[in-house]
Amino acid sequence: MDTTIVATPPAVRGLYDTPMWDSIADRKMALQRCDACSTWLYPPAPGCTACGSEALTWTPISGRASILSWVVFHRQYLPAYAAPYNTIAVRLAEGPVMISNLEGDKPGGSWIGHDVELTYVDMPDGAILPRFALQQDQRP
Amino acid sequence: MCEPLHLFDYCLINDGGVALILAEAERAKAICANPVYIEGIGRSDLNRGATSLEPRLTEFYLPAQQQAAARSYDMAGVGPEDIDVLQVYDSFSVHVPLALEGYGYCRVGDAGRFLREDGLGPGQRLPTNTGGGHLSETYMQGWAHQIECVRQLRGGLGDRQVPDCRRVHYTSDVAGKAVSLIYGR
Repeated sequence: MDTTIVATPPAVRGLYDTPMWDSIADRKMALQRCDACSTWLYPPAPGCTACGSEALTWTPISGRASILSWVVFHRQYLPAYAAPYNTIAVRLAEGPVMISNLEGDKPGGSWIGHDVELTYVDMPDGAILPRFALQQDQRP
Repeated sequence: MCEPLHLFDYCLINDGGVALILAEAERAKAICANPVYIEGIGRSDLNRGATSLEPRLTEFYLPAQQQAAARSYDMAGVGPEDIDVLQVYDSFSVHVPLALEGYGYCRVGDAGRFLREDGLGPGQRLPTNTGGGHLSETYMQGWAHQIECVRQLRGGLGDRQVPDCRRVHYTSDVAGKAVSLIYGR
């Protein structure tokens, strides 16, 4: 039996990404929020995409979101992600769109519009990924 | 390949080549026995929020399609009712019904009825991608669509020729950019 632990692809840490990944590791995901106009930013950036202000504060997000779109891959591309696996785009309650995966129960029919909540998944190699699960009252 | 799409919702993948000779209209008449004309062009970019895949996930470029359509129709002095053939950049099948709505061939949300009742085949209301398009002919990233626009206007295509074809509309909506071209003769 092959007991090799497959490595999760490492987080891509751009110039502004490290505080986000650190907050995910703490299971309290935070994004930048503009001090001037209250816009939430994702992905992390040097300035507000709405008003240009550079006064940004890392702020925990609520974890509430709804599904904008979904696909199911039936071909495996990376050892850490066995097929079939899904990819979802969610609209965070704070506004930004984020790409992730749906854990656990799946909706019947189209997934679009279902409410989800943030969950932190422990990968076999210890990496922690931010994913989403259907809100309790949305489960089949 | 990704559920909920299926194999035939995807374009082909291939190499190839396409050549077009473009000239100012008066010069085209002098150097070519049967030139066709670009009567209208429109383009609209909708890249706000593009890094988070908006707006394609939320409205599939509808405002950009509508703006590009209006500009090209105005320039050509025509409307969708004057178009004989539609050529849609169909990297996926879903581009076609959304083009019908975005470029004004039916109301938004009404593409299903248009497909059922009006039709996109030869002899129907709006023959579309008569060369086969990306789904069935070749994935030349829109260039082979231009060739089919020219060929339909020149005539003589046999079974797939749209009779008395006078205007062909090419549309694309890719990566935030909507483009609308009206060809005529």
